[in-house]
Amino acid sequence: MLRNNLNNTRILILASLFTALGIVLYIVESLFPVLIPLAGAKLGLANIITLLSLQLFTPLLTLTILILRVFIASLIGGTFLSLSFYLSLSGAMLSFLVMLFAFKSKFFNIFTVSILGAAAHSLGQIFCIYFLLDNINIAYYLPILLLVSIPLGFFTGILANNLHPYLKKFQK
Amino acid sequence: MNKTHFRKADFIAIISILLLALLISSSILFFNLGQKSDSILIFHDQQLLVELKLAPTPQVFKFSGTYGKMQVTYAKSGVSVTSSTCPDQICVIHSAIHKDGESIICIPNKVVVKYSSR
Repeated sequence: MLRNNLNNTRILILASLFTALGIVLYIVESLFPVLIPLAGAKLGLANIITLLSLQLFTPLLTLTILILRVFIASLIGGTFLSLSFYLSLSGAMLSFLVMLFAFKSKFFNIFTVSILGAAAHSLGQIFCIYFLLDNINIAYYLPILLLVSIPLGFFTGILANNLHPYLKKFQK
Repeated sequence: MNKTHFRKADFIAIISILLLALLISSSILFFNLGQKSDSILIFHDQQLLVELKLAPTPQVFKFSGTYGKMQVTYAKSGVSVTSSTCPDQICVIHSAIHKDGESIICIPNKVVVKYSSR
């Protein structure tokens, strides 16, 4: 019983740390100039946290961390309930669903899960723009975003894969 | 437990993303998705004055702005302001517009002529 409680506390603390890390990565990333001269394309460093928590925790806890990250980061960044908040939320939700199924199916390695998540993130954002702004012309941009999501998703996959051994002991 | 090597399923997933990108871009290029009808929007003092449908033959639309009268000639090949009573004549000198989002602006008349292909 005591052991179980200790474990639960440990998971709770780690989940809170992950949420904080996700927020920090999300904000730090928006401060840096984008390495690729493409509007809307970014590294997606916060996705490392989602990937890691998908491997370490239960899906429900991962979803909680993700939603908390999106909400708190938008509150800090001052974009709460604005267009970029909805973009961020829709991208995160679709990317989470795709990564969850890709990861649980065990067909793919961690890099591919990350790439699929990155592609789903851009897809979700484009769908969101289509429904919110009612502008189909945004679909012109989708092929570019999908192409860029492959190297960028691979990069976050490498980072998450290299971090995983250090956090393995917290696995539940 | 943590798989890192690439297998068949991984390549299939990555190639399907590439194919999806190719499919969307080719469908946009060949079927011209999203370009339903070409029209020209004329705004006066931020109010939509008129929406003109473009026809193959040139047509003339006359109206008056804040400063004076204006005349817009429009066809599928391009839209231009052919005459205006404003002092600068910048809108008349401006070359014809023919792409989505392009606009001719006349400041004395408070008029925006905008091309739209939505």
